[in-house]
Parts: sequence; C-alpha cells; structure tokens
Amino acid sequence: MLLDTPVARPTRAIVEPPPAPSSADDTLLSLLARNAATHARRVALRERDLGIWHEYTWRDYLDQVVALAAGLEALGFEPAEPMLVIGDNRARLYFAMLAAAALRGVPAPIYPEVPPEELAHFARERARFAIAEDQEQVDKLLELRARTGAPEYIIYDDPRGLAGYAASGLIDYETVVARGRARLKADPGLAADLIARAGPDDGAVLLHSSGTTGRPKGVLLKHRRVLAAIRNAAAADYFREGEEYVAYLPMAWIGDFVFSVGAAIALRFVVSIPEGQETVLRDLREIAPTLYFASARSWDNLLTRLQVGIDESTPLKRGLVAFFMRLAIDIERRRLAGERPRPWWNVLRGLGELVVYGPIKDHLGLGRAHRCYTAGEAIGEDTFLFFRALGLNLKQFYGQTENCALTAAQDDARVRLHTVGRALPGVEIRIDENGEVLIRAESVFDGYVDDPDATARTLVDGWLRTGDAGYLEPDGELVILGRVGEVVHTSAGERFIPNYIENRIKFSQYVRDVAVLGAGRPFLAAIVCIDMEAVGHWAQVRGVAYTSYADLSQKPEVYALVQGVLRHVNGVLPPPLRLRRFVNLHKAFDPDDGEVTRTRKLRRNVIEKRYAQIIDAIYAGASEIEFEARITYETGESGVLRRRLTIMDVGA
Amino acid sequence: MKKVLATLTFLAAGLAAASPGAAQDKTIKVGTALDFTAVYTFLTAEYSQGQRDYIALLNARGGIKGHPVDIMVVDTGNQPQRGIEAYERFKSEGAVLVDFLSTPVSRAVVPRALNDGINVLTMFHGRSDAADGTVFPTIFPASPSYWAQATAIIKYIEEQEKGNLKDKKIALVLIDSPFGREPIPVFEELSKRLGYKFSAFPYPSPGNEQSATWTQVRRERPDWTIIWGAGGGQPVSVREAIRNGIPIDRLASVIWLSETDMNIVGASQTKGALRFEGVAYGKDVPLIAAIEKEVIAKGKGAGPAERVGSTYYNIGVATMAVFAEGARLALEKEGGPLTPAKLKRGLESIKDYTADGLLPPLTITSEDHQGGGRGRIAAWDGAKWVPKTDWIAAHQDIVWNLIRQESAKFKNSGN
Amino acid sequence: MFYRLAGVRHTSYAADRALWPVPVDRWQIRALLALAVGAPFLLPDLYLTSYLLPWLVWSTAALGLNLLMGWAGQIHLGYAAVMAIGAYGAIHAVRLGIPFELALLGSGLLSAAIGLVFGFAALRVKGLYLAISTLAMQYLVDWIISHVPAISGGSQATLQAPAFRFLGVPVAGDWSRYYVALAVCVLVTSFLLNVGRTSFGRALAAVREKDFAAAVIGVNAFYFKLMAFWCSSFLGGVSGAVLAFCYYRAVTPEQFNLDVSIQAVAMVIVGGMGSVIGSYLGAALVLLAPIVLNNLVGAFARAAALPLHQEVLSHIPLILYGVLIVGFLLFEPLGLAKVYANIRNYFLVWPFRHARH
Repeated sequence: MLLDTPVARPTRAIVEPPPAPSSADDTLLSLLARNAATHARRVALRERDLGIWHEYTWRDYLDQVVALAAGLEALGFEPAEPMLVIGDNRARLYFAMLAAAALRGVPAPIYPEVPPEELAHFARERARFAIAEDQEQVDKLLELRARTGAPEYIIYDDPRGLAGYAASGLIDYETVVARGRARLKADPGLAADLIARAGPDDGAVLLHSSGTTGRPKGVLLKHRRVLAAIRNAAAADYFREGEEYVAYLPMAWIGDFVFSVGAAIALRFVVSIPEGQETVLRDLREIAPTLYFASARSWDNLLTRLQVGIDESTPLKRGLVAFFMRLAIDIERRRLAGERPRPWWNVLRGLGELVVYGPIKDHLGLGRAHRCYTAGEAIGEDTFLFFRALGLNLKQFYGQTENCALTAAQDDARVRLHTVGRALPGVEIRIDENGEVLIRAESVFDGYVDDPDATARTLVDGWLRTGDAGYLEPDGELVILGRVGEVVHTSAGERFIPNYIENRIKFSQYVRDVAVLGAGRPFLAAIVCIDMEAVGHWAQVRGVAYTSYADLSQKPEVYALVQGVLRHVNGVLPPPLRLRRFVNLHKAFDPDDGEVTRTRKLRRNVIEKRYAQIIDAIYAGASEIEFEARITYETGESGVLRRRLTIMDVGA
Repeated sequence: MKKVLATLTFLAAGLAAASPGAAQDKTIKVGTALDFTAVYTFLTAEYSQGQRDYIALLNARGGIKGHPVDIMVVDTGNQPQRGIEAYERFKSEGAVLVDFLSTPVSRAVVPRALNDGINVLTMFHGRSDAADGTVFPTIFPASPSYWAQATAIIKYIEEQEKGNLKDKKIALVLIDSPFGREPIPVFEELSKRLGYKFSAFPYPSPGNEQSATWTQVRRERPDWTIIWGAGGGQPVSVREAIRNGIPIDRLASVIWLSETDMNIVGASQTKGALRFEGVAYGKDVPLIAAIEKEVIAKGKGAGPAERVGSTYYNIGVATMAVFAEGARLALEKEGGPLTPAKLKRGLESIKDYTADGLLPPLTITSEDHQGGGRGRIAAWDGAKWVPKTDWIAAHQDIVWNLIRQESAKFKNSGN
Repeated sequence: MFYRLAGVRHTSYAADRALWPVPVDRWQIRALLALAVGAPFLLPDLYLTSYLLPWLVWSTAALGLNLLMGWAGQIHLGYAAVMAIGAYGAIHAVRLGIPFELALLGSGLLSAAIGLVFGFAALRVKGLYLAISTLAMQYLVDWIISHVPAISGGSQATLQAPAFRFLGVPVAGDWSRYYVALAVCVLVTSFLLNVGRTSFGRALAAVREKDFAAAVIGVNAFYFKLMAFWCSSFLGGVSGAVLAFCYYRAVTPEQFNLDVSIQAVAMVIVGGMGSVIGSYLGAALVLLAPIVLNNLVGAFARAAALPLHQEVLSHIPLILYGVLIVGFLLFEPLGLAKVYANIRNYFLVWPFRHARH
C-alpha cells in the first residue's frame, strides 16, 4: 500500500469553511422544512422511471414526507418503533425513512439482496411496519411474517404484480399518502406538529454494522450525531452546498444515508436516483454528479471497463489514449511525489483534456465531478493514479458506521496513496498502545441496540474503539493497515495481514477476488477468482475459446496469466511472505453464499471451511483436486457440482 | 459539421478563383463558358480553337491598340447553373464580353447580363429577338438570326425556281424543340407571300431516330426539303433524306451542317447538299491564312492544325474578330481602359466589317444588333463547301417584324 | 471528442424526442443558421449567388423529393416536371398581379394537384413500373410546356421572372433573393426534420417498408401514398418557384428537363434516403462538385502549365465527378448522410469504438 515516501507539498492557504449547515437543535425534519421554505422550487430529488427523470422540489419532498407521516400515524405507527425499509434506492423509500423519523420512529434500511432466511437477523426488532420497493421484497417480507408474525403493515412503492395479493396489511404507498393528506386537510396544525415532533436526540436511522466478524449489530444514529458528522465534513470542505449527487449505493449502508439524506438535506444537494442497479453507469452520464462516491472495487471495475473499451477501440483512438494516459499518469505520479508543477504539464494536460481526459470523463458521467471519494478498502495504485490522472479529484476518506462514516479525509494538498487523510475538524484520533485507532467526536454513536456487552467493548471512556490497526504520520495523516484482529502468523512465526497482500493482488484487473492463506501454515498460498469481464475479453482477443466462468478459470492460458500477476506481487514482498502456490476457483466469491459481505469483504472463516478440501490439497502439494462444489440456486435450493481444479506453483 | 463539405468546396473554389490572371489593367478579358462535354460537343472544340487562335494572332500582333487580350475558357456541360457560375466568375474577374455558345445557358444568363451591362456575344445561337438593340442593349447576335437564315434559304430556292414558287412544295424537317420550331412563322409568312405549299415535319429530340418522320416526308414528295437541326441529328437527317429518295441537291440545311456530318454520311454520296453559311469556309480566307502563318506555323495553335479552316473553326474566329473590331473602335474613339459600356458602343459602331473576307459586310447599330442578316448558300462538292451565291439578305421586313414582336413580349414579361 | 453528453437528461418524453438533445448539435445548428444569415456579409457575391443560393434552392427541392423517395419509398423520375409546374405557375401568377407569397403557395398547390394525379399511378404500380409512369409525367409536362407558347412564353420559350415583393419588401438584389431562398429552405427543412417525429412520418415509413404490412397494422397505404405525392409535389412546386424567381430569374424548358430530374434523384440517393442533412450534402455534391472540380482542374492545369487541350481538360472533371459519385456510393451505399453519421458517431463515442453501456 505504500508508495515511495512522498514529500508533502506546502499546504496552501486554508479556504474559509462554508457556513455551518446546521445547529445543535436541528433535526433532519427541521432542516427539510427550512429547505422547503427557503428553496421551495429548487429540485431536491430526481428519480429516473422508464427513461424519464421525475423531479421533486424541496416543497414536494416535505409534502410527501409529511403526508406519509400523517398516514403512518393513522395506521398506528408509534414513537421509537422501527420501520423496515427494503429495496433499491427509490424516492419514496427515502420519504418513508424521513416520515418514520418524523414520528420519532426509527427507519431501518436493509440490503435489498438479503435472502429471506437472513432477513430475520435484521428484523429481530420485530418491526410492525415495513416499506418495500416491489413485489420481490413484499414476498420476502410476507415470508418473514409467516415465520415471525411481523411486520404487520407492508407498504409498497411499485404496485406491479401485487394486484392479486390478498394478504392483510399490504398497502399501496399512494393509499397511505392519501390517508395522510385527508388528515392534514382536516387538521391544519398537523403538518407543523409533525415537523417539530422529533428532537435532535431521537434516532434518525438504525443501521447494521457490516459485521466482518459475526452477526451484524444494530447501530442507532441520532439526528444530533448525523448532523454533527456532516458539519465536521463540511468544515473540512469535504462537500459543499448544492452538490449534484447520485444515490445508487445500498440504502442500508451508512454512506448512503449520510450523503443522500443527511448531507443532502443539510446542504441542499440535488440527489438523483438511477432507474435501477443495472443502469447506474448509464444513468450516471445523464446525472453528471459533482460529488461522487464509489468503493475501491467500483473504481477498479470502472477502470477495467474503460480498459476493455479502449482495447477494442480503433488504433488511432487507442494510441491517443495510451499516449495521453501514460503522460498524465507520469505527471500525477510526480505531483503526488511532491514535484513542483512544470509549465509544460499544463500545456500537455490541456491538450489531453480536450482529446482524451474530457471525453473519458464525459463517458463516465464524471465530467463535472469536483469531488470523488473512495473508502472502505485500500484502492489500487494503478486505479488511483489513473483516475487522478484523468483529472478527477479522487481522494480517500476513512470512517465507520459507528461514527456516521465520517472520521478522516484527505485534503487537496495532501493526497497520498497510503494514507486516508487527517481527522476532520471536531474529530479526535488517538492510536492506543496495541496500535488500534480510537476516535472521539460528537458524531460517534451512543451504543449498539440491545447489546450492552458489545457497546461496553466498543465505547471505552468516551472513545470509540474502531478495531482498525493503524498509525499517525508526523503530519497527522492517518494510515490504516488492516483490522487488529487480522494480524496472523505463519507456522514459522512470520506476521502478516492477509488483506494487505490480497489488496495488492486485486490491483490487477484480471483478479476479482483473492483469499490469501497461510495462518498457521508453512507458506502463503492464494485462492484466486478471476474477473470475468477482463479475463473474458483477454481470452477473446487471444482466441481462447471458453464456455463459462468455470471453464475459463481452468484454461492453462488463464493460469499463466494469473501466475504472472502473482509473480509481480511477489516481487515487492519479503521472501518468507511470498506466495508459493495458487488455485483458480471455478466461481467468484458471492455474498449469497456468505463468502463475502455485501460490501465485498472476505469472510475468511466461511472460505476456509467451504474450501478446506482445496486448501488441504494446496498444502499437500497436489497438482490438481477434484472438488465437490456446493452451489446455491436462485430459488434458494442448493446442489453439488464436481469440479477438477488445477493447483499451480507460482514459481520465480 | 453539416457544411464542412461546402466550406471545403468554397475554399477550393476560392483557390481556383485566386489563379493568376489579374495581370495589368490594360489586359482585356473575355470569358467563354462553352459546352465541351454535353450537347454542343459537335462544334465546341473547333469553335473554341478558332477563338483562341485568333486571340493568339491578335496578341502576337501587339493586342488591340496595345491592349493584350486574355480569353478565359471553361466548360459548362450545357447546364444553366454552371453557366451562371461561370458568368458570375467572369464578372468578378472583370470580363467585358462573354460567350456561352449554348442556347439554354445564354437564355439563363441574359437577364443577369442585361442587369450588369456586360456584353454577351451570341453569334449563331441564343435569342433571335436579341437583335433588337433597344430591348437587349448588351446582347449581340451579330449574325443572321434563324429567321434570316430561313429567308435566305427561301430566297435561294426562289432564284433556282426562276422566281416562281407557286404550287411548289417545301418541306421543313425539324427537331421538335423551340430551336427547331423557331423558323416556322417565317416559312409560313413567306408561303403566303410567294405561294408555295409549306409543311413541317418534326422529329423528336435529340434526333437519333427520324425514320418515321422521313416516311411522311417521302409521301409529301416535296420539291425542296429544308432540314433544321443541330449536332447528331443532322447526319441522320441527311442519310434519311437520301434513303427516302429526296434529291440531294434540293436539300438545304440551317447553318449547323458541317463537313464532318457529310463525311459521316459519305462524302461523295452527299455531293450537292446545300447549307446556309454565315462565315466563309476554308483556309483560303486571308484572315485564316494569316492565322496559319503567324500562329499555327509557330506552334502556338490551341489545337490540332488540321481543324484550321473548318466550318466551326472559322465561326470561332469570326466571333473574336467581331469582338476585336468592336474593341478597336471603342479604344480608338474613347481610349483605354476598355469597359463593357465602351465596348458596347464600339460594337454598335461597326460598319461594313468583313474580317478580310471571312464575314459578310457587318453593320451594327444601337437598334440593329443582327448586323444586316446577310449570309450565303453553299453546296457540298464532295470535299469542300462551294458558295453558290453572294452574301445575300432577303425579306428582312418579316425578320424584323418577328424580332420586334418577340422582343416586345420579353420586355413585357420582365415587369 | 467534441460531444459532451454528461448531464443530458429529460424530464418528459416530449423533451426526450427533441430534435437535438445533444448540446453540441444544438450549437452546430445555431452556428450554421448564424452563418447562413450572415453569409451575404461574409461571402463574395460570386459565391453567394452562384454557389450558396442554388445550393439552398436545390437542397429544398431535394428535401421535397426525399420526402417521397426516402420517407415514403416511392420513386419519382419526373421531379423536374413538378418543379417546372411550380416555376411556370408562380411566374404566370405574379404576372397576373397575384402577390408573390400567394403565388408561391399557389404554385405549390398547383404542383401538388398535378403531382397527385400521377401519384395515383403509385397506387397500382411499384418500383420500376412507377419509375416509368413518373417518367411519363416528365415527358408530358415537358412537351406541354414547350408546345404551348402561352405557357412557355413564345417562340423564344423564355419567360422573365417579374419583379416581386416578399412580405412587403421589394426583392431585387442578390441579397434579398438569397434571403427569400433561405427562408423557404429553413421552413421546408424544419418541416422535414419534424416529419419523422409525427404519426404522418411513421405512417410513411410503414408504407415504405411494406405497403400491405402497413395496411395490416392499420395504416391506410392508399391515403398516405397520395399524401406523400401531394406533399412532395407541393414542396417541389415551391422550390421550382423559388428557383425561377431567386436564381434563374427567367424560365426556359431546358431548366426542367429529364437531366434535371435525374440530378434530383441523384441528390437524394447520393445524399442519403430519408435524411435531411443528406439532402443538403447530396445537393452540394451533385450541383457544386462539377463546378468546383472544373475550376480546380482548370486552376491546376494553368498553374502547372499542363500542355493539355481544352477538350481533354474539360473531360477530366467529368471523370473525377463520376469517380466521386461511384466512390461515395461504393464506400457508403447509404449515402453521404451515412458518411456524416459515421463521422459524427466516430466522435460521439470517442475515445471508444462503440457506444458504451
């Protein structure tokens, strides 16, 4: 993760921070009402439906929230009651979250791809109310109800396919809103009352920590916490008023709530919601956001897609892109290394902007993106440099659900590959004697729901124990190495963090996922999941015929390709930590199989258990293994497939 | 993006326009936009060669009163829009006189030329009514109109028939176009005056196929047959006439019948055929002899030497001779530089000009741009054209009635 | 490279169907319109009157023919005759004292009425047979015009375009004639641009693809074929009138003979069937390429002092012109419009080969 030791550039004069977006007494509702009063006709939300963007102004936004809240109350929604929100990003789901918050309830968004049996973990609060995006989610909730008796009321957004459902408590969103409107008409003071009911210490959202270890834990974030986090970030110029933002990340992820709801209301963003997950990249171009967040994986995928596209382009275009990208990456590398800008950089970059960088950014829909962020996992050097070289101000930040996602961020003057930036104003960071990162801030949460033990372990003396291993550089920049719990030893006693090596391997566009083995073993080895798109294209170009992912992964040519990638990584690892053997898995790791989390973090224990056969064969020195793969069908049923997998030595 | 192509063409055309040509002020510019590639191909090459050779002779002799002459030549393909483009280009280059040798192109350009005051020389083509200088001040036919040609042919026939045309049958075999139909009123008027029986037999344009028409002509058994066409239709007419038993020495043609046509049909078979001639034929004419000596012999000719003296070559020479005479008179009277207006007055003061025997005596006035309407009848002797008459003009009253009648229509139509 | 599509979005289907959703295209159109309006100030009169003006008029005519050939799929080999009817109609009308604007409309209506009669042929025959029936129209109209002196204007067969006023302004100079032609051209162009977005345009396309299939899906092929002939003839008549008044200023039968019909068809085919921009490009190539080539070859021969005879020199452009037309059609059988679309697309997807996503 470390680049050559960078020399810090002189810090430029600090820009005056924008006015505080909110005060301590505010709630998301009061800020929404403020927006509706001061910027009634300004667009707040945009939602794409059948190719057309439907717009909601701030007045429409408030109107929907208040009407829905009134309708929910009429159904018997009570304070402190959780409300499940399940589905892809939809405007009405956001309205429902705020409507629940207005009634002092707790909106609890859930990842839409959570299978029915896992839903119970998230729904342990026995929520009586749920809002679902479409028929698929309604079915899941009905199944949940059959099992647990809750939720009692299921409100749905998209009525398609639901006309014949006779289940009780299944209500159309429109119906609830209509009922609410009727109440609002009858009681003129109700609207103001609904807006003012929630206080800063009421819960704004209930999320679940991603749970790399064990089951997800409920994290309740109060209005006060969320708004404090946004104030801190705004003070660091992390985002500004009126950004164009695209809401495409899962609603159950803290980042989406903070960006698409919290900051959007506090700083009056225009939030655009794509038509669906499949159309995000396409819709992104229509949205042209000014503020864009994507995980390191997404940036990698984007780069892979770009490279595939450019590889099959015409020779002239390909040549121009290759020339200007090499140039820009070189300039960016030097700039990050602290070299003074030379005049010719600007000339060449200006030309490149016209011919290559501008068009590519336009294609990505990032032509207007002034602030691009990534967080979660470390981003690959190639990817990071590529997008920065394009002229995107891509920066890293660091945060966790427990601290409203906003803890530290890079500023323009100190962008470096291995750091995640410095603490935001209002956030204190300390490294304890074990190397763990501790945080103290107004934005830190108040404890896990119904789990005092975990709370006591996490919140110690007013400090949040993050579980991340890291250190502070002399200039205050935070470096994150991995999870404290991730440090493992080989049988020879060599310390290493598998994740760190895995990230280096994944910087190759051909590798989608990789699990590095070696804890308690004599040497390191890897289970590799190739990237279908990149390797598929690579094979196509070279005339390697294949039928499926499994087939492609076992091609000798592909093995040679992956071997090359691993050898490259070995080159920068100390000899005892070099990878000796590897296997190409016949499938990619899948959250549905529990191998990775929804945010694509490895679940090591699951992998080690499921692929124990393979792992044993690797360390037994076998050159191939007949593996019985257990697969899960879309229907939820599972079956067994036999696969013969090659195991190969990495070699020198 | 849309008009990039057009921009390129403009650039290209601009490039072409910026060609060397803007020499000294003294240079007199003449523009000829001819049809080298479409309909008038039968004569254009020889015609243009004659024009350029004559200009070469003029320049070799020191120009017109010390003014060199620059002749610009372009192809129009007989398309009016290309003619208009050429005309506008000549205008911007400062041409004092233009020549198009194409009836459609001349007609399309006439309104513009009248408006701009640039002289158009329309010898043996174009509007016959342009002979009326009061209506067409800058259009100079300077040659016998088709109406005058018709009267001259009838005059010859009248003489051959000893002045008695009563009950004689005269047939006109014509191409079915305005050009072909143009002389009909003259023949009809004269038939009233002279008592012959006139009938017209049109064949469809372009005249490659005339057999049906000639079958009718044979049935009519005319005493005299006149063919009125141009280009490829002419040898067809002559061949059909022979095949249908029309006596060849009683077959007369409008001016557009050349030695080439006769050779196509058969030089000896066609012996005796008659044609109207507005310009002397052959190399014996002093002016043509001079060209041969001073231009061709020195290798400065604009084309193959064997064309010198041919019918259309000589017509080309004649056009430039008339222009040069007009220019000379203008420069003599008014001095240089030569403007279109001066040239017009110069042309209108031409009096009894014969171009050393090439032309019938030509006298142009501001009213009469036809120049007298004289011509002669010549017969094909198997190798060359032999004049059968002097330069004659007849029944000019009929001709001028028609000129005035048509020019009046033109005048009215513009308002 | 120049096309920036980020942020182009629509909040209604009407906006989604806009003619030029891409900002660059809109700027192009604005720039072209500005250039067209400013052309008299920018171009020497030579180029205005003998290049730009006839190009605009012929593009208008090609658009009219393209409506019939490209949109409705009906061939017409007598389009020059349609234009002739408009030209003679308008000149006679103005000479009778009818205002030019009405005469223009009237000439369109007259052409449309006569064109419609021949359109009836299209109801019974298709393809080559229709080509022959429309050819008959060409010959018939030619013959009538040149044999009826009352129409053609006497034995010299030339009719001067009388002086006229357009919207109260006397049209006399090159500039005013150009603006009249430009106005008509812009009107016709915007009509054709929008035809594709209307039910009329879609019905024409259905008839073009297969008339009885169109009938099966409820499109009255009878009605729409006639409508196509009517509209196309109307536009032909109007452009013929504009050609007579603004460009030739006098009409003779040769200006509307079969060659001209063939040229009009060539403009549509070389330009691109069913394409507005193709009509412009086709008109430019067919009308202007011979002139430009001629000038270029002439200038080159003079500059290089080539010892070539004028006859040879005159035929070189003709050969080049033929090569150009055949070359374009071999290179891109769908016409210049497709060439333009390819170029546009090349830059639209820049730096990729295909559209992404």
